[in-house]
Amino acid sequence: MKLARYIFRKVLGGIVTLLLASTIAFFVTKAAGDPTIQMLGLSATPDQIAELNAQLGFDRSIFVQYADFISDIARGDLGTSLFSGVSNFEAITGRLWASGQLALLAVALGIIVGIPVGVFAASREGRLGDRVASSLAIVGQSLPVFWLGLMLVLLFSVNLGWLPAGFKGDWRNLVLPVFTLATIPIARTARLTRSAMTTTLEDQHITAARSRGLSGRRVLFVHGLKNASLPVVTLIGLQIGTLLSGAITVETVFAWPGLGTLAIQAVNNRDLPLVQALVVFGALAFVVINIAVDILYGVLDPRVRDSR
Amino acid sequence: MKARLAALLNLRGWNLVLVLVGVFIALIALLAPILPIADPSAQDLDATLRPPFFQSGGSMENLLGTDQLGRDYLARLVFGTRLTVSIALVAVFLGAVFGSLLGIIAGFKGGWVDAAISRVTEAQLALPFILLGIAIIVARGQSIGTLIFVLAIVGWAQYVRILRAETMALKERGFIAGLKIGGISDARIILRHVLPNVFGTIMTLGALEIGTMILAESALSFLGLGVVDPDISWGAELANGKNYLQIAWWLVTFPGIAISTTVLYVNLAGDALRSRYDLRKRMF
Repeated sequence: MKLARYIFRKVLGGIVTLLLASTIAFFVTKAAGDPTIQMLGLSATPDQIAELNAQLGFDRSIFVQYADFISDIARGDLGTSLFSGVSNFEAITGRLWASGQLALLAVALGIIVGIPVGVFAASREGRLGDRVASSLAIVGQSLPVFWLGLMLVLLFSVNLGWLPAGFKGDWRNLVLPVFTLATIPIARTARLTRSAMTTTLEDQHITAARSRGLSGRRVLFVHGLKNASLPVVTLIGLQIGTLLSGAITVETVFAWPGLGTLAIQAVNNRDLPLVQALVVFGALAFVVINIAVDILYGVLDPRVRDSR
Repeated sequence: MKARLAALLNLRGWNLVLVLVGVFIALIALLAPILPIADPSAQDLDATLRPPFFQSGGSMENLLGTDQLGRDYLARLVFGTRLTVSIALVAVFLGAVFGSLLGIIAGFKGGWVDAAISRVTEAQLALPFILLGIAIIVARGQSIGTLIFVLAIVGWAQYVRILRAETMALKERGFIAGLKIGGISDARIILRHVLPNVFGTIMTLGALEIGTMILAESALSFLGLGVVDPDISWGAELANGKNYLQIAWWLVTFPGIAISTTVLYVNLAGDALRSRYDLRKRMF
């Protein structure tokens, strides 16, 4: 029963977070300026501005608009695009798989490459292998990912001609964007695994396992990694937000037809309702994934669900 | 003179290198107008898209080549330092002041104040920053002021979480309780006794955030939402260079190297500060 209560508390907290995040998104865009002038351009007449304001409901008091915005979200209605007239929810779900594919593969690569590298570095703490791996990880975190993408295009598409630069729809299109986007998860996972492992490896149970004569690799992966895995699971959840933001620039580089390019189209069309819907959707994705991580955490470690 | 300064600050080896690199970057930014380089905005349509000096067709006149309007690329990168670095610094400063204040208040007051601040902070962290930035820019229109506003909005939440934890730990110690019993006002305790004790943490976090801000600025400018021509920043140069990827590799390569090395430097310096203030345990 404790687990059920723990899950209930996490879901409730997530809903509160989502509503607050929508509130922030509403007020920072609303209080910030007059969107209709941005949409119509500076040559717009006052009549045109008034008309568009009335059409969008911007002539009502800000609190009425806010109540409207939040109650729409609470009912799962993300509004309608100004430009295309399509429901924002449809526009977003139509692009979701393209972006989700990139994000999932990037996180998977982060785990597959990052964890072994981190374990390797921790097992050689302070020696050459650790220094090289740790330096690469910090360099990886310092690159603008979209620039790395441009460099990969320059090398593999322009100079070597091995891979296509634009989007054509087969698997070869995936290679460069996924590797580009995976840099951050790989570097972060490696750094965190390393630091979690170095602390774990100092534990007495590791010394005990070693003194029982277990092989080095078995000690590392079975006794070490298992105990270092909780912070790594948390990080993977937290990365989703960074990945969503990184995906926007990376999708632009590769002309990838996902949520990022949808956002850029929305900007070019000055489509504020669609942009707001994307922000709320991004927050929703973050909240849902973190609830999932919290629940996984609670299942893996009973101590977590007992505490507050 | 240099040795004496180093001794004064008690700097040796690696830390000295870090300080000198920082001074070097600051000097480039400050002295750009009087350095012996070309005017970054002067067009020369007879000398467009010249490659860097080491490639055939390049010349010593334009060491790093020219862009599509024949503007000297080295000069543009040097001048780009000014806006890139100063936008990041202003954004970090605003985020640090606002976020630290909220974090200290949350940790100090506890109760419903803490609950409210923590909830809002969590909500802010759930918002994907480029999307939020895009929304603000669509609503406000594009300007450097808007860009700094966006970056500060993105940055503040990080400080709240860590400063809150720091302040709560500090409150456990006797002297704060003593001051409260002594009838000193909360505002005075926070300003005179809490703030000096958490200042190192704020500086360390701020240093680490500079890198994040430079990356964020370059991403937004790359998307055409941050700095745009005629203003010069490394991100804006990348956005322009992208259009000439096939024919002029230097236009995308050099600004990226400038961003990466600066961010790498900031991260290394932040790590040095972090181990100095022993923050590692509290940050992750």
